Amino acid sequence: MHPEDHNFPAEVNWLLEEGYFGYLGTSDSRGNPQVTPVIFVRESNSVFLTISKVSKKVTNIRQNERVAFLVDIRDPGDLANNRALLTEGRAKIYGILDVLSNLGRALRVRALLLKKYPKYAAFYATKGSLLPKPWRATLFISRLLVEVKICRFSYMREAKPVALGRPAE
Amino acid sequence: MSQASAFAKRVLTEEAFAYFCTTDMQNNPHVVPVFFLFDLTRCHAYFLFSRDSKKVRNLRLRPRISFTVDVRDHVNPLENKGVMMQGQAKIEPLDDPDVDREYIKHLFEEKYGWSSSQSFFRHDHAERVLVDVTVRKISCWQGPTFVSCPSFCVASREPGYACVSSRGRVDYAQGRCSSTGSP
Repeated sequence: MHPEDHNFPAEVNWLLEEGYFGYLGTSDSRGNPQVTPVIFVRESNSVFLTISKVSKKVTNIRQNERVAFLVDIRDPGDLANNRALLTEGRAKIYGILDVLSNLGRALRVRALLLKKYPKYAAFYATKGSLLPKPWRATLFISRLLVEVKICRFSYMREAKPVALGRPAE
Repeated sequence: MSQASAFAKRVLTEEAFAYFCTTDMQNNPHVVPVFFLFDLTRCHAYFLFSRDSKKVRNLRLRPRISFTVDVRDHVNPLENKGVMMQGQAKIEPLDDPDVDREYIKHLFEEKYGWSSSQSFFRHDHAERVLVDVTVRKISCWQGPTFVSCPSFCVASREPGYACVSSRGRVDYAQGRCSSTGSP
């Protein structure tokens, strides 16, 4: 399904808003894939991540902007009762000029991250300096802001693809 | 057993889901949650997939894969743990006489506790393939740092294999897992 605007189906909206962890699939220029868990926020038709500058993900995205991003919920009591949203899109790493020219959006993303992950934010505020520099939360020093613009998505329920109805109002 | 080995072994044997990543010929990654088995002795992972699924179509063209198994902590990022593997996949049709279906069935049911009526084997064998992944690289992390290579890692005993060291860099030291460079 190709999203035309941010009025995704309700199930998609719910996972993008409420999903706590996502899995980012990247690959290098030779097609070697990598998948790792990330935290994220949704902003319009994109998800935003903050990724360590030294991570392999960043190296891969610089070589190949095409990424997959999956959000799912698991039911520990019933392994078959799961929901997953797979989005495919293009990743953009924000440099300082990109942030400055999209300052409103960047500040919105920061506010969304702080609101969605208050305990992580508190941890980084109080104990972040104890971490190795590459894993601290400081933008540009340690981390980069990455936008994944959603180009396509598919929704899975109980491990099977499901065609969703019309976009939510 | 080292702490890294113990936690990696626990994650790989007890966690139900892996996140499996393939790429197509245009280098578009594809990620899906899947059930899995991990053989600590051989450092191989096993998956049962639908023959016509997107991931299997990708594997037929590009057998290089990555999968991650992790434990999430909603409060403290230092408690997030995970193992990410990269390797080479081989597709074996379940109706292939060389595939020991009963053994695979036993392993999956032992891990997931399904009865025969609920198991993957309720499906037509012709529609399923066994995907056998030879793991060539393992990265383990606890919180924000990489941890040393687990003792079962194939890189610890086979030349030419790689793992991510405790400092987060790949090292290929002729079959040894050692730490070089900075993250």
